[in-house]
Amino acid sequence: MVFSSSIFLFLFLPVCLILYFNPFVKSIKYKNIILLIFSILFYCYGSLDYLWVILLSIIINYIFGILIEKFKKFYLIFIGVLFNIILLFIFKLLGVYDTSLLSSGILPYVGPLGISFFTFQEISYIVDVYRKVVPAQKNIIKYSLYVSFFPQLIAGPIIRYDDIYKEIDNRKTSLSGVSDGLYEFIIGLFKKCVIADVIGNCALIMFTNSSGNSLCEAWLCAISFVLQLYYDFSGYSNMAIGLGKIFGFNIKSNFNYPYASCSINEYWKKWNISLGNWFNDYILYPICNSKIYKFILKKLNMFFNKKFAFKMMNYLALFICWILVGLWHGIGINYVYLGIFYFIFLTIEKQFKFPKNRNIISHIYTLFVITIGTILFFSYSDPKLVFLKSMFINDSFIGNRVYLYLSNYWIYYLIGIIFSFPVLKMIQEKFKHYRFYSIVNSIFIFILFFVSIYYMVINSYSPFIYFNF
Amino acid sequence: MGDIMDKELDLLLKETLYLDDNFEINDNMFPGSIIEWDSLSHMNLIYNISNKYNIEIPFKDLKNIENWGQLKKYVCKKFK
Repeated sequence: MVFSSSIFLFLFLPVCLILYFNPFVKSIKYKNIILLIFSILFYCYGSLDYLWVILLSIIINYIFGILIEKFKKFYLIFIGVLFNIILLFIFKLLGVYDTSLLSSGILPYVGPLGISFFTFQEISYIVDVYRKVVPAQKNIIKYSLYVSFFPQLIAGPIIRYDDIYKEIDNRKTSLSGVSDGLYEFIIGLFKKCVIADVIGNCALIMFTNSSGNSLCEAWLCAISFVLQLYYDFSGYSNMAIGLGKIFGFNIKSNFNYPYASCSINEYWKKWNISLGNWFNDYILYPICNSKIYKFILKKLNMFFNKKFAFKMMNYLALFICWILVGLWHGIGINYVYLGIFYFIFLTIEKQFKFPKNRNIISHIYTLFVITIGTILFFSYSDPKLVFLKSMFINDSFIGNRVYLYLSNYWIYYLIGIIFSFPVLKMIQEKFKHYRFYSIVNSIFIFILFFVSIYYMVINSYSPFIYFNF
Repeated sequence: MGDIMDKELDLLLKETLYLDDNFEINDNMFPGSIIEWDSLSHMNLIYNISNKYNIEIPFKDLKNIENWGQLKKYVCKKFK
């Protein structure tokens, strides 16, 4: 079940809201039970066969949390993290294995939904318990709700237990919270149903016939896919954050206008923020603070100057981190290349302090690298290198479809490009003190809602791209 | 003691982030506020501070430190 589906919007969500906000349920304990039941139902709808995986993962990590707090032994955290990694690895590997069987007519593999997200949440939980950042959760219902809370269950953002456990225990729902949540949800719905899906359809058609694309068509297709990926994923995050607000949870923002970045380093700080922070705290930090890291650094200091030794170790840590970022997206050599691709650009930027200034050239450079990276590692064009070649070396320059798509869909592209920059935020900041602001804003959001519903109904089912990860 | 250590720490920050000598450091700076202070440089900074003052900065404390001023205060307090 996706948020942008009729069954979710007109059945699942209303029933959940009615039960959650009904005046007979005042205690947070019962509200949590309602949310947990709906979260499990939500999961069952999409991945009933793998319900046991998430339940097993919840139970094991719940037990580990308590044991780690009680005994404070390193081997416990080691086994706990290993369990999560093995679980993730097995199901990711099954996906690779199954893809190779697709040609034999076997049904495509649909693994446990959101496994990359919930295993990462659980690793962060047990590690934080070990680091004494948070207390272990003794109540299994509360812990299960943390892991399975349906707004963020299948495509993030990756929520830290530290950010949410007080709200699980005690949270207040207010009319303004519900209204803010609905606002954010509708923005996300609009991003997904109107911009991502329409522009994504153009990309899909051009990808399907990638060998016949002219140079401009190939670029239009690439730009379409880059926009689709952003609006699809950030739209989902907006909806998740909005739903969280409705139920009284404050989920941190997962995107901060990444396409307005002027370097790859800045881009990765603004794209899938929760994943970047996770890798910082649970991969980079342990690597840089490990005894082996310090030992090698000391040895290197004996042979090289301090600055050089530091840099070597830094790049090694960064390399490991980026290989793992790649593998998080999927098991396969293509995803290892993803990690190496971004590692190279980040290293160049760090080494040469490049780009030095924020200007149009640094912005074009960033967008260029992002576009190439997105096509190489996320697109469904096949073979990818052939498509990439058609973006640079091509006999045909313009092609008929460029006129066709730009004349029919120019408004979607225009909105897509403009709102990938903080334009809406600037408008809101400028006019929020005016008396008519709230009325205009309400009318605006109503229009967005009805337009989104219209597009949702006329378009066929389209899952979120990041569900694949 | 506090003033000297304050200056020492500012110098350490400049060295770790390879900042120019005339760069003006202020206490409100935080990782990400300048291009040189990324997550990796932050780890280096923590490593250098830990080594220089022979203290350990646990993750749980580091998580609550929001800017350079707070980190300096924390180090001074821990070093005493």
